[in-house]
Amino acid sequence: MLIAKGIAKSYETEAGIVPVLSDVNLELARGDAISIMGPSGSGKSSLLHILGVLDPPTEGEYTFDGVEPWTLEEREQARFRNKEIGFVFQDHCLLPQCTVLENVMSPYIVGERDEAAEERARTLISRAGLTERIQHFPSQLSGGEKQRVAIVRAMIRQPRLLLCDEPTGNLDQQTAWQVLTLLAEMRQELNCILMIVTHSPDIAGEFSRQYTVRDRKLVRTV
Amino acid sequence: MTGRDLSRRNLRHFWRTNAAMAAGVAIATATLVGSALIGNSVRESLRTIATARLGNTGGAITAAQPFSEAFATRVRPGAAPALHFEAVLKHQATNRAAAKVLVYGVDERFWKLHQTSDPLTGERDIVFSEPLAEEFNAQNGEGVLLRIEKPSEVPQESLFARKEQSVRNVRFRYQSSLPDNTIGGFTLHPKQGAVRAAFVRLSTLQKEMDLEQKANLVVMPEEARSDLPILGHLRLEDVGLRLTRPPDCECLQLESPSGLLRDDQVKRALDQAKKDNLKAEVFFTYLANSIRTPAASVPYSLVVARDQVPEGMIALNEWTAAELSAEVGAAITLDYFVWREEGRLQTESTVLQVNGVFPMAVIGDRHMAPEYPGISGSESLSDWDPPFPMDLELIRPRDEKYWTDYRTTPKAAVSLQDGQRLWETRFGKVTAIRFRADSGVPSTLNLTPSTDLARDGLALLAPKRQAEEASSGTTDFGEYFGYFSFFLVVSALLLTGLFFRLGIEQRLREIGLYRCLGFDQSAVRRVFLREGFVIGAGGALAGLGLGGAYSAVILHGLRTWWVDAVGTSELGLHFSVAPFTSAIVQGVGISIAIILVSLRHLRPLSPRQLLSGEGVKRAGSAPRWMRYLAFGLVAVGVALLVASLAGTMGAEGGFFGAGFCLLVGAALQCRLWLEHKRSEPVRNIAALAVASAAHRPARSFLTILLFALAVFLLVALESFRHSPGAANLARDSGTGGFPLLAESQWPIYQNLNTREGRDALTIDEDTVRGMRIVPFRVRPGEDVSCLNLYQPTRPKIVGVPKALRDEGRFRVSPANAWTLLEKPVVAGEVPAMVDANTLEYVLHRKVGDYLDIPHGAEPVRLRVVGTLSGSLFQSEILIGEEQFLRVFPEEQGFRFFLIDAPEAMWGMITTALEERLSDNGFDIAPAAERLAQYHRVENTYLSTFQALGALGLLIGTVGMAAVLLRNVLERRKELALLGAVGYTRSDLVRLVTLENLALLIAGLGIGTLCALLAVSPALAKRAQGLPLASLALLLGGVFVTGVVSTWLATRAALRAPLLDSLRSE
Repeated sequence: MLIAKGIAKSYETEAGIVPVLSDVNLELARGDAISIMGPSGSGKSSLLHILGVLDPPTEGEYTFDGVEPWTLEEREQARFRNKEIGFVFQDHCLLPQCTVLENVMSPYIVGERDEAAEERARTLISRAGLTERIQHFPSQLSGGEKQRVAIVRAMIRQPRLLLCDEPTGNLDQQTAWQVLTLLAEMRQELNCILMIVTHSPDIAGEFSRQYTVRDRKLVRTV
Repeated sequence: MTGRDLSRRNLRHFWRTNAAMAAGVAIATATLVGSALIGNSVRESLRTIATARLGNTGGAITAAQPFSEAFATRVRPGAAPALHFEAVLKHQATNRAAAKVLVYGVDERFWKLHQTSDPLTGERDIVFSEPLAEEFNAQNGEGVLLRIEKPSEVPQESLFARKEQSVRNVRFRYQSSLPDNTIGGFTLHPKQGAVRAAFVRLSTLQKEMDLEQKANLVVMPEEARSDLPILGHLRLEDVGLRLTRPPDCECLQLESPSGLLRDDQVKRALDQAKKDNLKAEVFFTYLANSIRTPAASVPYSLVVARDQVPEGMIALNEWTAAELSAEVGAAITLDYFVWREEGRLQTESTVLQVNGVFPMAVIGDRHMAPEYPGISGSESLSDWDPPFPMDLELIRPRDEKYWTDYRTTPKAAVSLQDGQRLWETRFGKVTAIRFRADSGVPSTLNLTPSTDLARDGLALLAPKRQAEEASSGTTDFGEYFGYFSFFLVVSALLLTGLFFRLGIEQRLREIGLYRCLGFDQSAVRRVFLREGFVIGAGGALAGLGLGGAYSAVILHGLRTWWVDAVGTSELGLHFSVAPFTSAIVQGVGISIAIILVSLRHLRPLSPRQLLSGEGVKRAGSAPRWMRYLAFGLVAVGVALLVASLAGTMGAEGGFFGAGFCLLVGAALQCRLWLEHKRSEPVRNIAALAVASAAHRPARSFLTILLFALAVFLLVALESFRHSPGAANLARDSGTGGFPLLAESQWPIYQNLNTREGRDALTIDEDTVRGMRIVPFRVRPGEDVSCLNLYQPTRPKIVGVPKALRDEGRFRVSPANAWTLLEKPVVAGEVPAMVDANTLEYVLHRKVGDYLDIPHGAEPVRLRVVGTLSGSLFQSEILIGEEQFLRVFPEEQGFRFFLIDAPEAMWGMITTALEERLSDNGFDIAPAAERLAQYHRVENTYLSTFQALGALGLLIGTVGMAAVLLRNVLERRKELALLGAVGYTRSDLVRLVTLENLALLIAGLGIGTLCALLAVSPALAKRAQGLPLASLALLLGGVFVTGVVSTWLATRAALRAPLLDSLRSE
């Protein structure tokens, strides 16, 4: 269960303090999938970063399955991210020096390893249609292939929360749908909470719960 | 994949940045290792040179007066006696001569001690050290003439000594040579340059010098730790004493071949007489030119001073009373010569009253008087050949008869007090002591020959130990290279830090991703530390090799291009383990430290900030602590400068401490100024360039500092360079206003400023018209200037006459320093002055410190009361002449001279004096040449250290080019945009060039200003101006180098089309 209450976020700039989010409230249960839309700079990515324990809120409370991640020590926060959260970014963020398999396995560098991890990774890579690319480096992959690797990486630890920030923003339509399909399938298998930030109304429309960030607040539209 | 695997991948993937970091670590390590190796190598080389030349010598005994050869065997079996002199050597085939050649008369015991076969095959053979053989290109069988001064038993500065040198010419045949890095270069005092030594048969030299069965050197395999075992082996004759039994005396008589007994010898003898229950009577016999009354005169008579005569009285023997028709109560005038310390004879007189006329035997006998050379052995008065003027017209037949019948029987007696008061010298005031027993002739006097070796002219040496200690050197090259390399090391570290920082900025998103994946801060740190360990180890290993190569190059330079600085080409590379192991540790430590410091500033950033690249700090207000730090560093730098100027801190501490603080503080101030400039409106390309430089303040600061460090070193060193130019003959200059100086191998006793002195040396008056010569007494010893690499333990000491001190010549500090030489502040100490350079850099002392000079059982303590600036006295320590005579009475004559004369006479004076005084090995040189010799060494040191500055400049240039390229790469879109809105390519080139020129000029300005400030205390002390021409040339060269490299880097960076970067947007 994800509970966010009164979340606010401001940034300090040279020009002064810029509020981005104000009094954001959200409750999501396991298996929920939502889309978040909004104009550029509206704060939707900022919300994702707060819920992903990447950037602290200026105000508000955030609880995930009874744990308040923002009250944890830095080391515990890192462990929390490692185990519970998967991220997919717009520009995939793969490690250029690692192969596809190594990128998928990268969460296990610091997390506890289980015997089945590599087998699971190979299975997921195969599910993503990248078996022939398993030893290739990111520079040898297309945009869609890279994003599929990023999705597999985000899933490998079987997280309970999956956060996607414009995962198809840099892809053509066909590739974007391939990626989304993979995302949906894997989410369903894991029954995790999925939050996806997008500019695309078509993609947003695929979700039963749709939100938009308007005037710094999160407003449910569907 | 594990964390280790990730680190391995990272090392390979980011190899460019890692290689740059490793290069920075390698440079820093190479510099540290190189400095340590250089210092170690110079030390070891000096030690090797010195100890190789000593062979198996552990200890040695030398003597001013020869002792018996048997003493050597008594002291230690296996010891080797020898005669050693400094000689003038003339090579007959080439007719060329060499002065100050070390000549050793040795026998098979010497060669056996050193486990080498005796190279001398014939009685007249001579073997040279190789440098000496090469100097003359000597061939086997060629004739060699040695001119050697025979030591005089009679003190030269006394009435009865012959003042002209007793120089012997001895002929030999050249046989072969020995390498001077073996026993062939035998010398008891370490010397880095070539040794000119010659070896002959001991027996031959003894015979030629009339020193049969005598030696003045004992070479021993072990060092004698104290005087005691040596003293026990001395006999009376070894220390210039003898006990005789005068006929018709029933007594023992103690006397000396020198004619005088020292005060300590007299006291010891009298004390011993008491113990042996003997009665002792002291005599002081002297020669009166005349004993006269108003009506009559008796010429050239011996007078004895003894206890039985009341003070103020004179007792005449019957013969003298009759000659003078003198009765009791008559006034008698004694006329006599005394020898004055300034080198001249003076006639004095005294009037005494006759207290009695006595038989001859009561006054004294002929055996009371010492053996006077040229007098005692003469058959007649007219045959006298004394070392003072004598008027033969005064001698009457009756006088001749007295001489024939009675020889040196005294004609009169005065009181001991009167005699000692009138005729005493610093060598003694007693000529003989007689000892009588209550009954019969005393069997013996149990007199200890000596209690103080130095007093008796003997010195106990530990040449090997001295060589080991002296090898640490006056100039610790390792230390100085380390000091000057400090700036190079800092530059290398800055460059390494700069490259790592650039690398970190490149990998910010990667770090953000690690954090997203669940890496905590320490996990991220571990990834980079693993990389850092490998980079550091790799860089350090490369640095070891580079350091070895760097030190090899420097040592090669010291042997060749910079040989003037060290005076020897025998410096070799000596490895030691310590620098290598510490280098690895330092290299790894450096890279780990840089990584930790660089990662530290990322700690406060959230994963989001890292992912978005916000970790690259853009321009903003500098944190307050930076302002405080900038101000604080400048304040500390100024405080250190002031302390150095005031003399409360050494020049080195002031230079390095103040220099570093001012540099960093000024660079920080520059960074703060840039940020201030950023807030001003940008209206033109120049303003845009400054704004761009301010946009990345950390990079700009590092670039400025890199350049400033290099410029600082180059300018600071150049400031000390001595410019060649016309000699400064001002009275307060380094020459003291004297155009010429002279040194004499053997002392001159006459006063060259008097006609009498010049006549005695047959110097033509016309050839020395207008000349004024200042003579100095010298205690020979080690050169304490920068010309000597070895740490001096027995420095050369010079006695400065009062007349010169009163003239106030040379630049001295404090202003009244010359007057401070008169009297010690603390009893028992001797005030001294030293050249400022020598005091600081060779002796490592300051004003107020003391130096203990070995001199027998108790060293002589010199207290430094003042300094001279940039003087020609850098090779010696100066004390007042009065003090010199008090503490070193055994040193006689004058060996160093400053000559003032009209310029037109310089040439004539030089020729005349060198010719007339060639027997003394008299050599004149321009005073400016002596200064130039020191300057050459100093300038050479500066050049070697400037090589480091040049390396620093290279690092600064590389750093600036790297930053420039990186900036352009990051700003490709921005520059492309400017192109799209109408900037031409040359506008863009100008923009980037101006930005970097601003940094270059800032670095140049800061480095120059801080350097000039840092060197000001040292320059003030030396009263030296700046070499403006060479400084201007240097700065111009640095500026041009910077401009050219900036322009080239800019062109290279902007060569690729910029619009591609807009297309990808």
